[in-house]
Amino acid sequence: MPVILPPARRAFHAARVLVASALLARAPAAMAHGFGQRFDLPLPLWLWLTGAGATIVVTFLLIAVFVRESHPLQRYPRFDLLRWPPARWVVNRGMAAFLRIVAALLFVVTLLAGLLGNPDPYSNLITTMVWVVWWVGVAFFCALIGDLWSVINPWSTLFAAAERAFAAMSGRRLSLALRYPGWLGAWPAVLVFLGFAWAELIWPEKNVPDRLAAVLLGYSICTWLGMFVFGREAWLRHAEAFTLAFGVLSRFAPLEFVERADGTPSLYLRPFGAGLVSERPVSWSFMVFVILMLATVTFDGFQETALMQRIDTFTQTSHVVASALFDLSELGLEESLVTHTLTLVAFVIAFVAIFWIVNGISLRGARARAGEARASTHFVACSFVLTLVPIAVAYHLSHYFSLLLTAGQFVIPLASDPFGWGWNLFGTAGYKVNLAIVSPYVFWYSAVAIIVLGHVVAVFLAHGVAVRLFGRQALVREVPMVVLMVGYTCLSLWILAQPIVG
Amino acid sequence: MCRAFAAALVGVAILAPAAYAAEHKVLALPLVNGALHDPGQTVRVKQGDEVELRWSSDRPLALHLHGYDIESRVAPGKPAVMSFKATIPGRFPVEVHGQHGAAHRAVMYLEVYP
Repeated sequence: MPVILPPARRAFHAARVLVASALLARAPAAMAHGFGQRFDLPLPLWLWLTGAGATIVVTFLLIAVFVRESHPLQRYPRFDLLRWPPARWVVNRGMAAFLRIVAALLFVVTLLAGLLGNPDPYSNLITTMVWVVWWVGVAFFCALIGDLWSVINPWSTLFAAAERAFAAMSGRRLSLALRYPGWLGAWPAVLVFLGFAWAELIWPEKNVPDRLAAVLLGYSICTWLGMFVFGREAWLRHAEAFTLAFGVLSRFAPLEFVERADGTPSLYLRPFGAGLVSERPVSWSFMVFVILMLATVTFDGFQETALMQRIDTFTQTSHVVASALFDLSELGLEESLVTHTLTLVAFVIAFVAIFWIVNGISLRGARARAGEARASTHFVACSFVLTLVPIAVAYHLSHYFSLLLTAGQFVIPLASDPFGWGWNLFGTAGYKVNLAIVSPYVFWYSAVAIIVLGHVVAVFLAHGVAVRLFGRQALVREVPMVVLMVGYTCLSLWILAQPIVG
Repeated sequence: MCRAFAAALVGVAILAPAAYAAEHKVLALPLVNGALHDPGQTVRVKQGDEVELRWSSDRPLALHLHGYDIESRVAPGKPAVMSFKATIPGRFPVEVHGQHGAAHRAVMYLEVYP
């Protein structure tokens, strides 16, 4: 099961061997997402039913409102914050350079801690840094504030430094500068993200510092090779999985950074979700990438439900499945590992298939109409896909914010002792994590409120897209998509109402 | 987000429990073959309760209550008691920590409600 799938061939072999060796040796299995455990109480039944009911009611209300207002998002209001001097003191080139250097230093320290530091996951900076601060924390920042990752991406910073050094020495560009092939699209990112999700959710060694560091290093090498072959900007724009993932999330965010051709920067304030309405449909591979993100976020929660446990039990008791799994376990693949991996892949395929079918249904009987010659299922699916993102963002926030506030506290002791060698740089090494920081009431009510709000934004955006695609027929045509959204929202709430097992 | 938190705060204000008399809860938990009679049993208590989990087992095991981070060793004829005040709300597994990196397995869940 490759965590990193190199997009080009031979040159990546070394990295592959590195990654493969990291994956072969096995360690204790603990099935839970990322790092740290969530101790959230399940939503009470009445609250999940209220949330689901509210979802359906607000959907109808929104549709009733839209009947009169037909073009809600053709032009959204935005305000350039950089016209306001205090904003320019905070947001400027100096600050960006500072953040970039800090992020690159943190990256190096994290990697070194993983490779050389204490093997205990709670004493080593890398596990908290990768799974909590970076994957949960940066994702939250991107979704709620703006695209921080594109500014601080340490792979980009370090490669850019190498580019400058190389140019100074040889006067040439550090890149083969091959044209990024169109057919490759976002596929490298799709494969990497699938591998990443597998590592986050299923890989038994995700919390073993030196293994995690080996994979991080392997992916870094792949990324730098990609930048070397196709150029840094091109690789980031088309193929770097995390630039795309954080980019998708930050389309939801209220801040948008634009640099005009003459170099004048603007930092626009816009409504939440406005960035998800694109003028043109996204590419097929990018659509799969977005659906993959949605599917893995949902699988993350699903994996901790009793239903997943029943699937596990079923595979162990069903004779045919169990004997097939036993054969695999002879090869060194643990049974539950195989079951969970297959379920993850099934989730992704099911999400893509359902989304495709729903778009097909909304097109039924439409082809014959004049002016809709362009409308194929492909075209419609690639136009609608981003409107589902607010629900995924909302679910992600609800699912993780207590984890961010509890497991995130590990940063305090780790700042003083990143390698787990008994240092106490800032005098905080003895800090004990306070698990009671988030009251279950805060978790319950904010989780439901956030998910219902996310749903409202999603339905609103879907209507905007439907108006653009179908004109006066928008309301009829968006019904299948809205039904899908109600189902997706209720599924997200249902998962939060399940007791965490496993 | 703002609205979400406002809603959450209102919820807390309305539903915050009035004075609650803490109880002393004692549970006998016999492990047979490393499992309770009802696998995945959930024990529900109120925040502030004094809880005593009394373990017995037909084989030696290391038990770990996560969150409260209490570890106990139990063996035939040597019962173990986890005694604590349920101060942290949430859902916490008690896991059997095997030797030689065997999978950690939850034998029971403790749910502490506010």
